[in-house]
Amino acid sequence: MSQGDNVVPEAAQARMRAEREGGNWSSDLSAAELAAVHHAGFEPVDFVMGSSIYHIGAQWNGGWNGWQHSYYCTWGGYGNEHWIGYNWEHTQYEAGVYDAYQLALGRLTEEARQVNAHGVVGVRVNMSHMEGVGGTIEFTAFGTAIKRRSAPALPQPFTSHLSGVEFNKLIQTGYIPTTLVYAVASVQINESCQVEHQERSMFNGEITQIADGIRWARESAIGRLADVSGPLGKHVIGVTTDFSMHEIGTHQRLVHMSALGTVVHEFADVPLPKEPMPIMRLK
Amino acid sequence: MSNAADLAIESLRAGRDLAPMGYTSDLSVDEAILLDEIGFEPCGFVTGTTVFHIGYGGLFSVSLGNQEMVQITNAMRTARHVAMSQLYDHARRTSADAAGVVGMRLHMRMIPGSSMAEFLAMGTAIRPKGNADLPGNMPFFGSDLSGQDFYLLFKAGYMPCDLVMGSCVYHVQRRSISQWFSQATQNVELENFTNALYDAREIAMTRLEDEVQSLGADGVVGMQVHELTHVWGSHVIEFFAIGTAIRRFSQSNLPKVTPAVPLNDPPQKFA
Repeated sequence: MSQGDNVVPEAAQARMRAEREGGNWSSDLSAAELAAVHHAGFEPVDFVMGSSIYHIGAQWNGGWNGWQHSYYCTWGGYGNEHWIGYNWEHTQYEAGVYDAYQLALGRLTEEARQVNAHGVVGVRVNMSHMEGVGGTIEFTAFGTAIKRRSAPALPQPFTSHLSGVEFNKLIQTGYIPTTLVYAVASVQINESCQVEHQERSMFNGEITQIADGIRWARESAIGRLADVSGPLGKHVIGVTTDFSMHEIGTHQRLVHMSALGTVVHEFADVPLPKEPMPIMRLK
Repeated sequence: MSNAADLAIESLRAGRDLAPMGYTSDLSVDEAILLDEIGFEPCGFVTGTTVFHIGYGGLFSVSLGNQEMVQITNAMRTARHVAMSQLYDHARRTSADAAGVVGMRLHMRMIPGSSMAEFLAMGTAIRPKGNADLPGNMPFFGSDLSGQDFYLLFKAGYMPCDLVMGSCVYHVQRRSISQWFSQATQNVELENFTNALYDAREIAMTRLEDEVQSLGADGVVGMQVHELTHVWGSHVIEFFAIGTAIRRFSQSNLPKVTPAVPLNDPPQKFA
C-alpha cells in the first residue's frame, strides 16, 4: 500500500469475498445490538477494519508554525540555576497522529463501501506506540458495517462510534450518524527553572507553565473537534477524550490530547412517542 | 420504523445541513434525548484544568498532634475551585447563552515522579432551546448530575445551583513508643485515631454545608465523602465531600413511578 491509498489489502478482500459468496457475515455486535439494528430497519453486512503503522518524524524545536509561549524566570536570575521555559505546539506529532487516523478510518470506510454498506456502527479507534520502534504508532479502527436492503448506495458510508442500540434510538428520534470526527492537540513543555523551584518549595501553589500547556491542549482539541464538524452537521455527541503526558527528557514533557465524537444529522423532527416513564428497578 | 430508515438514508444522499458552527458534547444518546425533551440542548464539551504543587515540604509529621494541615487544605480547595472556574469560563466562551453544566467530573491525578497534581474538571455545557419553558432568572449552574438525573430533578421541580465541596486535610497523631508498648497486647480503641477521623470528616462536611447555605440552596443530592491519602504518607488524610446543591422552583410534575422487574439474564461468559 502506498501512502494515502485507501486500497483494501488482498487478505481483507479475500475474506470479504468469501463471505459475500457464502452468503454469510461476521460482526462484533452483541445480541441486543443485532436486535436493535434489525428493529431500526437495517442488517449487518460485515465486520470491517482499517489500520496504519506510521512513523512520526522528529521536530527539534517549535514555534515557527504553531502555538508557543515563553516562561521567564520571575526572579530575573541568570546562570546555571536559571533558565527560560517554552511551551510549544508539536505540530509534527499532531499532523502524524491525524494522518495515521485518517488512513486507518479511510481503509475501514473503503471496506464498508466495497460490501455496499450504508454505514458502520460501533467503530472503535485505538492508537498505540509500537514497542522498540522509536516514534512509531499503530492506529486501528474496527466496526460493523450495516445496510438498508432496499435503499440505494451512498457515495460514502457513514461512520459512528455509537453502538447498535444507540443507533436505533437515534433513528427513532429522527437522527442519523454522518461521520466520526477526530481532533488532536500536542504540546511540548520545556520546563523553566521555576517549575523545579516550585516543586521543591514548601509553599503550595499553581504551576503556571504546566497548567497552561495542559489547558491549551485540552481546549484546542475540543475546539478543533467543533471546527472539523462544523461543515458536516450541527450536533456532535458522545465525545470521548484521551489524554497523556509523558516525560520525554530532562525537564521535558509531551502533552497529547485527542477527542473523538460522532456527528449526527437531524432528518426529521420526531418527538418521543410518549413521555419517558420513570421506573424503579426491583432487583 | 422502516419508513424512518428510508428517510434517514435519503437525507444522507441528499446532502447534509450546513451548520455555521457545530457543538460538541459528551452526552450519551439517552442523555441527549432526555435533555431535548425538557427543552435544553448541549452547547459544548468543556474542561477546566490546573496544575498545583501539593507537597508538604519540610514538615516533620512525627512532631505533630491531631490537627488540620491548613495550608494543604487551602491548596486543595483553591486548586479545585480554579479548575471549576476555568470550566465555567470555558462554558461561557463556548456559548454566551449557556445556562449551566451537567455531568461534571472532578479528577485529580498526580504527575509521575513529582509532587505536582493535575486538577481537572470536565462536563457538557447546556442552554435552553428557543421555545423552552424554563424557570425565570435562573443563575448559571454547575452539577455532577447525568442527563437522566437532571431530567428527573427538573421534572420533580428542582434545578441544580452548583457543585458544592468541602475538604479537610488532617494529620493524625502517631502513638508514643510507650503507648505502643502498653497497647501491644490489648484490645483497645485507638481514641486519638477515632477522634481525628471524626473531626476531619465533620470539618469537611461542615464546609460543604457552608457552601450550600451561602448559595441559598434547599439541599444537596448525590453527596459523597471520600477518604484520600494522595502523596502525604500514612498519617495525613484528606476528607473530601462533594455533591450538587439544588433549589426548588415549582411543584413536582414527575409522572407516577412504575416498579419494574428486569428480565435480563446476566451476560453469558465462556472461558
